[in-house]
Amino acid sequence: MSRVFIEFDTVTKRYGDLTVLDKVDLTVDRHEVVTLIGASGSGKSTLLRCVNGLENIQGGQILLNGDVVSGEGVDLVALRRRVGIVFQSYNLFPHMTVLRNCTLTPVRAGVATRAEAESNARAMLERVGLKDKADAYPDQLSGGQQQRVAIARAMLMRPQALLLDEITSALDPELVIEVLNLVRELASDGITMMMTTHEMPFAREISSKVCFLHQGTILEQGPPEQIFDSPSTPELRSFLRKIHEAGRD
Amino acid sequence: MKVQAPEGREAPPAPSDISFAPARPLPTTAYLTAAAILALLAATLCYQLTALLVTGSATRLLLGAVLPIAALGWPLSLAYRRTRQSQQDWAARRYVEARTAAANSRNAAITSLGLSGCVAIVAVLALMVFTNDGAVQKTFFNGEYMTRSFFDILRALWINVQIALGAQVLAMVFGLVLAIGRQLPGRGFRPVRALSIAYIDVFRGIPSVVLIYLVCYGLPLTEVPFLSGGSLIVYAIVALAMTYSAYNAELYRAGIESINPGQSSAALSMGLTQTDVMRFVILPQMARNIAAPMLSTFIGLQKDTALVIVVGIIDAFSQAKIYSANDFNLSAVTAVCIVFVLITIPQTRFVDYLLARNGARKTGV
Ligand SMILES: Nc1ncnc2c1ncn2[C@@H]1O[C@H](COP(=O)(O)OP(=O)(O)OP(=O)(O)O)[C@@H](O)[C@H]1O
Ligand SMILES: [Mg+2]
Repeated sequence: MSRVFIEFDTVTKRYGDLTVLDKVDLTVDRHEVVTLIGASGSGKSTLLRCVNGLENIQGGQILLNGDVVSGEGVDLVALRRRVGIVFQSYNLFPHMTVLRNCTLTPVRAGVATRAEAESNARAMLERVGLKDKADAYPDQLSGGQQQRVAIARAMLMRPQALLLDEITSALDPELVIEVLNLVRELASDGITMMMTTHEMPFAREISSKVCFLHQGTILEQGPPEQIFDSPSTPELRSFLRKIHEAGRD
Repeated sequence: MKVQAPEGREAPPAPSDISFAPARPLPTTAYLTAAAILALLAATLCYQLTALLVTGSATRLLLGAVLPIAALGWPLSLAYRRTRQSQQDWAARRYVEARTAAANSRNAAITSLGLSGCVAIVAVLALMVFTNDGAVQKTFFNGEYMTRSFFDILRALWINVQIALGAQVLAMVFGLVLAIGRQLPGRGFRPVRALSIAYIDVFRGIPSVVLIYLVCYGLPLTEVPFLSGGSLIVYAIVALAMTYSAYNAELYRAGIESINPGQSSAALSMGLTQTDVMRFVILPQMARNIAAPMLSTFIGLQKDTALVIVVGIIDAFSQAKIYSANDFNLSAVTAVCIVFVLITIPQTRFVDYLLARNGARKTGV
């Protein structure tokens, strides 16, 4: 069994004339946490959305566990059950209770009966500290609670990899910590993760690899110490300086 | 050395003090004037009306002058007294009290305006109905003609109900098919999209009455097997459903487009199939969004059922028309109006109730 789990092979993504990802090469190993950093508009979200087929790509290919998952003829439903994603804006279903948000897909996908799905969901909700919110509706929860439900909901499909797109950006500072603690815990359980974040100390702590995206290309990648402590390109140096000036490092 | 006010509070400095210029109370003169004029007008109209309806001069004086002046004068005098109060407070340098009194005076003046306005409008309408020796009343609101035709009208209304319900069910189902059809993704579905759009464009444009005429008179003539055998009522249902499914398709589309695209990204990312995303995530949220406008279209459809008169179906309106032609009086037709209004009101309340219940459930009340 190869160590590489997700592989980007010269991936190019265009919106019309705008090239958003330009020949991106990147590998993510099993149980690894890879963090994408870069200025707004550098293509971080797009890169994540390509992995589970929310965006199609115009060049190169993406492989999951050695098998091509980009282009025509891919079973997107099956792919997405293997790769979960959590968004900045939670996107819980507002017309369903927290519990039903968590059980809908497992039941529909046939991976669990309703009773199993509910007991799994309750266990997962307990784990994310929301046991007593199972019957609440999303708009009765705080942002941090909603985001933890969104993570629980994604984890209940037992994905092999989890994509986290700026999951703390919409949260107040005191709520960020509860979500980050949860992510830290999942990482220590060994799930493969790709994420984007503006929380640099967190990225440094949790990542095995950090990639710096600049205008759709990966300019630098490596272990967090290398990226944060000895940046080699002027672009990364200037990005880190801006982060520092904003007090976010 | 500070001056102590009688209540023990600190007295504000005099307005002549340059460093302290308290905001003046809101002006009320315009409000008071307008309220007074309108109240006078309303009272005059009331007096005119009693002149038309009441004989005894004492009762006329009581109903036409004393009562309206007392009723309309009360908020007006309240407004006036509060303005006076405000002026006195201002002179005594009780600025906050002065401003409060002025604001209250304005509120009273607005109440007075609203009251007088309503009374004036009702009085004008009543004057119109009872003028010319009650000509309007006798033509449109003759109680005897109304009650005599009422039960036949109700019986004929059953036809309208059948047509409305049948057409609504068809139009909701077919409209949804059209709405989904026009937004199916990918190149393969292009013909389906084109066809859906073409249907909506065409059938939304044809007047319902023309379509009813064409379908009800046309289909039997064609002698096409299966299509030509139905009853007139079935044809009318089909004709109205053809129009209203086009309306509904656009409603559904707007309801779907108003849902945050993040909802379907999230649902797809979890590994739900397209059909499940539609069924469990999009359509339930859409239903809530469109309940109220859907009811409006449904009420439109209910009223359009009266158009079947052009093909000789005896519905409530055409029944009333028969009565009114015999009686040389339109009261039976007015009765139809009343019946139609009466059946729509509970529907509106019902949808309000559904939406409120949904809202309450969502916020856990
Ligand atoms: N649907 C779209 N159509 C056209 N252009 C798009 C679309 N989505 C994203 N883009 C463009 O792609 C580029 C990369 O966007 P992306 O969302 O990946 O940036 P990002 O790195 O995630 O930024 P942020 O930190 O602000 O989230 C941007 O220039 C954006 O304008
Ligand atoms: Mg982004």
